[in-house]
Amino acid sequence: MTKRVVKQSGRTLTRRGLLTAAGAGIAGAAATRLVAPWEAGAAPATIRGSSLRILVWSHFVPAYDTAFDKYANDWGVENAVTVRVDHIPIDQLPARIASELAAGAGHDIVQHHTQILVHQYYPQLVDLSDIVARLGKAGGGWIPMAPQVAQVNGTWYLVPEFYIAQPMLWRTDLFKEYGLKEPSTWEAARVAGRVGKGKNPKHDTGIQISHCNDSNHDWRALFYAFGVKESDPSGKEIQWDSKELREAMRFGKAMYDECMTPQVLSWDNVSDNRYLGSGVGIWIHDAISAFRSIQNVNPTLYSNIQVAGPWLEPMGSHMRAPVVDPTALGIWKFSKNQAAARAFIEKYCGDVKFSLTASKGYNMPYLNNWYTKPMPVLGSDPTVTYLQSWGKVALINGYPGPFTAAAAEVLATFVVPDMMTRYVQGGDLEGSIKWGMGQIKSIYAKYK
Amino acid sequence: MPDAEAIISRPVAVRHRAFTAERLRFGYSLLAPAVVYMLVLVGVPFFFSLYLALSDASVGGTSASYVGFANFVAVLQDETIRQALRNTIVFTVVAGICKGILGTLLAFLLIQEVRGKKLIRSLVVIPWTLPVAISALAWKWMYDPQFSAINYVGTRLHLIQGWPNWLGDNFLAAVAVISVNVWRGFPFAAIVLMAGMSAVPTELLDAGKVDGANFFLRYRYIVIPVIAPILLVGLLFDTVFTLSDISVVYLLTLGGPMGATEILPTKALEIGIQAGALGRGAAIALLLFPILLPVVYFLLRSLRRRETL
Repeated sequence: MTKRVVKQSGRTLTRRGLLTAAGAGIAGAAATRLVAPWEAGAAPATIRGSSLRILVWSHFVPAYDTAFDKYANDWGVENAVTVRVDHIPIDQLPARIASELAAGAGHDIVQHHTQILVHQYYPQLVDLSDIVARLGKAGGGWIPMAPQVAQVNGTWYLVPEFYIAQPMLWRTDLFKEYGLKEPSTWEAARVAGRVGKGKNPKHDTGIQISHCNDSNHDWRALFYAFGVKESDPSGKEIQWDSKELREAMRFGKAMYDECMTPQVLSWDNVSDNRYLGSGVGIWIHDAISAFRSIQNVNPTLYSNIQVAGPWLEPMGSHMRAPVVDPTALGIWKFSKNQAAARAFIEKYCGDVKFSLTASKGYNMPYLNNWYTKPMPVLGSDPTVTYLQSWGKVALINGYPGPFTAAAAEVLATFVVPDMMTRYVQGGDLEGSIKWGMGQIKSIYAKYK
Repeated sequence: MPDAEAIISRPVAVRHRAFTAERLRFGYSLLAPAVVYMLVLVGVPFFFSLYLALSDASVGGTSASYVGFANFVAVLQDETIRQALRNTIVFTVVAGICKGILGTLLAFLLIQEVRGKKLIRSLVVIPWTLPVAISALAWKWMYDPQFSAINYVGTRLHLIQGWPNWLGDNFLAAVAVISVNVWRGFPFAAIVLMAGMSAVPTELLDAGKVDGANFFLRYRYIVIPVIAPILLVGLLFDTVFTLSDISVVYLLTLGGPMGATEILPTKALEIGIQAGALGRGAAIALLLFPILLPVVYFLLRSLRRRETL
């Protein structure tokens, strides 16, 4: 009996050959099953003909909204998915997200921004750990801050999208005129403000001490730099009350007295932008949109503004602690088109180059590989070149713990700005801290 | 007419009952749309808020456990919420008085027979008709700590000393917020009063003049009693609108500085939506209810009594 069993295409195939071919075929099929179709850039066929709704903020760089809409639309055309993108003001996002969940209907993909309540929403969000793992593997891993933004108990319920750096923006011309060195510590920034305030005309500075988001994260940047911790790494035990907090608040009060305009007591999120744009401020502490907005209206002033490095943030001997505004994308469990949502998120969140270039360097990446110098946009613009060093040192509110519901309430109720306001308006240090700690303890007690 | 005979032949009491039941059915069927409308638009949100306030609901959960009055106890123990409650009452009372005075003055001006009366009436209601977002942002610019138009003009006319930080000083911020609320609301008060005043019979006013009553006596003893129903309804509306007005504070100060302008609606938003504690947020919002309930009750009772006079 011959071993010839099958004759195909003029070639003989032995039993051993058949088994080998079958084994290879099964292995190949299995291998392809392990890889999601959209991993190689192609969306699954099952999503064709479906529709996808995306909710995001109205970006502070308006051109990015246009680019993002086109990006989403192009992806939709390519994958035969009808994509609709809705942009709403950042302040309206929390209420919109809450109402979508209450209604059990709305967008498939929702952007969580700045005050990210993943610790509250996660039971209603799709587990996206597989996408995060693949993106992380392809992108050289995630920066240390990423899990704080999107992870709960080891599971990723959001995919980190981008974060907004809040660096110090300083006037090179004034620093040079006053014989000041490039600011490299909070102390150096304080000296510069003091010198500027003493000049005629005055060139003082300011950080919001008021009810606004900038005030919340700017003072935390200073506090963290002095070693203040909001909680333990688990986020359960409060660690605010410390000698570091006292040191930081004394420094903050001195900075207010010596180099700030009292107008900071009523500043909102864009008042510091205007202050820099007016030509008065010697430095401010804000996102780069503050000086990008000057680019066209006052090119001379724009050319005299430099973004400081993250090493500016500490006093020098403590730590680098730039606090940022994060964004991340999530998919509701009630979404009827989770496959398309997952495919889009994986494609978009992996396309860091698009995000960086379309936002003119505003959208900072979470993936380590993108910090390889020169980064797109940031590497070619000397003004913002220091932002290339932010990946390893960026922090979010709640540090070093996660941004828990309790930490979110401390932030939402402006406890830190109010504690600082009490102190700079003449309250004693211990009294101001006692008030602040009372508020924080009371908030944390509600979540025990 | 056998049916009529059958009815007539029934005892009077039975006939009366049938007639009454029929009338009741007819009456209730006419009322039904209004009742359904109220239940859907007022009742459902109210009872849903009550449900949230008595539960540990958070933004991330689709179910919640009953916690009794724990949320109310928690919010009343919070010093900042007590401050917001005080501010809410003070703002409503002060703004109400200011709007009453300014509205009355404006109403008297508007009922004068002058050329261009219609145009003037149209212009004075602009603050009330403008979207609050636009008008509040315009005021924010006028109060801006760096570019304040009020300070610029005031200092040049020597009406203002220094450069006040309108939204950065506790007292000035409260004044600023109340002023914007008054500015937006007093044209409404004026229109309401004007409508009432135009209904006052001129014979009564002439009789008052003949009897030697001066302007204030005529206003006190003739105008106010006649326009009282309209006045009370206007007061009721204004109280409700002011107590629940979140826009002005939200756009001007977000409750700052140090909670000096924090009111219950902004506090409810911060805790209920931004921090995600829906239960406590609803409890804060419902703190207004026990304040509003007696106000509404007494105003409506007073209105009913006057109508029966």
